[in-house]
Amino acid sequence: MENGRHGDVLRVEGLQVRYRTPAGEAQAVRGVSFTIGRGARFGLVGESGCGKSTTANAILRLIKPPGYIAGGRVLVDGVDVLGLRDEPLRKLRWSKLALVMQGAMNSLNPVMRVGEQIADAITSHGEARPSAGELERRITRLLGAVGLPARAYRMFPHELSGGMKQRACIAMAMALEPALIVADEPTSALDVVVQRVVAQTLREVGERLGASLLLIGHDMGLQAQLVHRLGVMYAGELVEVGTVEAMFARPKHPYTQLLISSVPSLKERTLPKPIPGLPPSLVNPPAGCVFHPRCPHAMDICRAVAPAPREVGPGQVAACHLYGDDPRIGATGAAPARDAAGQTA
Amino acid sequence: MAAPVLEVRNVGKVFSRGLIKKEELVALDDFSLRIEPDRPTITAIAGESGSGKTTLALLVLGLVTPSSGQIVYQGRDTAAMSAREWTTFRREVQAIFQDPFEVFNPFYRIDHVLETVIRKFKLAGDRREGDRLIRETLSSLGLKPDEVLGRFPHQLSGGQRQRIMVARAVLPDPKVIVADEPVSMVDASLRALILDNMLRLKRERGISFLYITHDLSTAYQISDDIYVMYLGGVAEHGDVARVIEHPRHPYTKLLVESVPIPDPAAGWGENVELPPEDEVRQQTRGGCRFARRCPHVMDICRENPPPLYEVGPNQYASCFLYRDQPVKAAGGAGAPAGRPLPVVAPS
Ligand SMILES: Nc1ncnc2c1ncn2[C@@H]1O[C@H](COP(=O)(O)OP(=O)(O)OP(=O)(O)O)[C@@H](O)[C@H]1O
Ligand code: SF4
Ligand SMILES: [Mg+2]
Repeated sequence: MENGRHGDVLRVEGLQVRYRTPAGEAQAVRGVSFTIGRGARFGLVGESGCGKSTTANAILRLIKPPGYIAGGRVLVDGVDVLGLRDEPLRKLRWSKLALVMQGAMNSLNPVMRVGEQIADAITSHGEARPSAGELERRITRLLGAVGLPARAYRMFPHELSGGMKQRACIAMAMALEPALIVADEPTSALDVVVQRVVAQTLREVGERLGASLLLIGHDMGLQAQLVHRLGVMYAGELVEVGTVEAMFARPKHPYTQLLISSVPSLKERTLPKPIPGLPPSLVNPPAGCVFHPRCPHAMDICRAVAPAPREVGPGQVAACHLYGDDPRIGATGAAPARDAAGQTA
Repeated sequence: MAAPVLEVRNVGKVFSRGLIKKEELVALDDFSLRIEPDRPTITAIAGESGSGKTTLALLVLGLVTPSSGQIVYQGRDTAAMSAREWTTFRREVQAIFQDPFEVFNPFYRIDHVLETVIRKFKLAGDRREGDRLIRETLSSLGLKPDEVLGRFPHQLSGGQRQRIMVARAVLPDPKVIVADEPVSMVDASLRALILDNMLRLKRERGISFLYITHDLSTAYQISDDIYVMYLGGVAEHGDVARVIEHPRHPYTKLLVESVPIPDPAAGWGENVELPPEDEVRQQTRGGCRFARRCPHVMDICRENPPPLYEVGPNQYASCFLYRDQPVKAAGGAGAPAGRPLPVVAPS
């Protein structure tokens, strides 16, 4: 299909994920939509608990009970992941998608040599069966690509440092040349120099293979250095998306503005100001704009009507009433559609 | 002159590991630090994992005994303290750790955590007084007592739990708090709140902090002095503004440069390479610990360990590039930093 080669690698449309909890259903992801182009790097940021990992897991269809996907579509190279049966899903996961998790390094098998583990991934999930010699050459190349010495092939995980293990996991994720790498806080357990090396590795290896990247994490510095476009999540919703340059230079949503201004840096010797208040309950999210209880600009309409996403700059979309009148408001007085994908609040 | 509040005097700690082939791991090597008595300070201990930061925290808290050197509190060697002095020491030197979940027992209400401290150090004459003390402390940290008391740990937000940890450390009215990565598990907004709490405790209650972190940005924002650690030794130390703004040791330079700048227009510089960790540890015997990774390495660096050279006012670097400068005098921790408190932007 035409989507396959030229279209977006990932298309998320109106994704909804809920967790059943004793207090009721937590709406962890509420109508999230975004796309990632071929070879593009997309970042997802937001406060702890805003639904970043849940979104990533839903894309890979890794949501486990008490969680479930309550709505929306996830298209990988045009194929709807959410509708797939188990066997084609398993195939697609290995051939098109790769996941690098926080602390992925701890998922290496301690009693198997690094090279053997990568070989195992290739032979049990890949299409072709390379010869032993070909396999070893391919793995050595992969290790080299993530900056590991060839001798790492014969080493056990405990012989590698944390950063080296994390890079071995990236090598493994790259082994089947995925179209999309989903990296959930891939460096947050690492020290700053190691983090820089792992980030470089992700960028270079992705560029070489033409793979796209979905980078999840709240380190704004890392995002600024690594991604092309950035999405900001708040309480399960994607409140703003734009090019990383625009998001840092001209953030439009009040939450993005507060988030950007609370980023620590080595430039200023003052503590950033905390964002006042706490994120809302996901079981009973507030009516109107989810951010209104903490928003310094909240107006009457914000308490009653959920803002629809609208264009606030070139390639930049924000869901906030500060930007233009919603044509639907006032006509009926009813709450309008919640997002571009057309779910209602 | 009054004795330092806390002095770490040439402390070394060697762990041996491996059952058959005994291997010695020098976690901390000839480390010295002083917290002067004239005013409270926040001293950052920064470095990668494995650089000896947590070992230092455990040594200062008396949870691990030094292999060499002394930990001296208010002029008394902790190894030679009477039972009574030891109790005072345990009360006046408190700790805040990284993961509050490890400290809270999920089956007890959080009141229990705080009441235990009151009982252990006999902080109150009766229950009423204890309760009042708890409420006062919680309020002073920006928590509403009625919102947190009576709850179980899982019913609190991450930020509330972390501030209860701070409350627990503050209750016994300590002189020093060792905070080991207290904000590494929370996001930017909460981090600012908790660090602001630390600044206020220093200012209003005269508590000094050892702030252990791998995050240079927050070290820069709240501390007065910094020790940059590398493989168990000090690479550079001194006034935090000097060390971060004008790093002199090649390792400090690499660290500062590796902090990703939250500005897409700013580049990250050239790629860096990491040598395998096993080689690095082996290489450190004898010479400079950083020699294996240093872009400026000279012959002398492989032969002798560099002492701390005075590279600026209250700034010391352990690097032969500065061998023309005077060697830091033993014992003196340098002039105390004289700079105004960082201002917290009003919200
Ligand atoms: N297994 C689960 N059962 C119940 N609730 C869950 C479960 N997993 C996540 N949640 C809830 O879903 C919401 C979103 O969580 P998620 O892990 O996606 O956040 P996140 O943005 O990745 O946060 P962090 O930055 O802390 O990793 C949170 O309120 C969380 O408590
Ligand atoms: S819609 Fe209203 S409350 Fe929501 S972010 Fe915009 S101004 Fe603030
Ligand atoms: Mg997460």
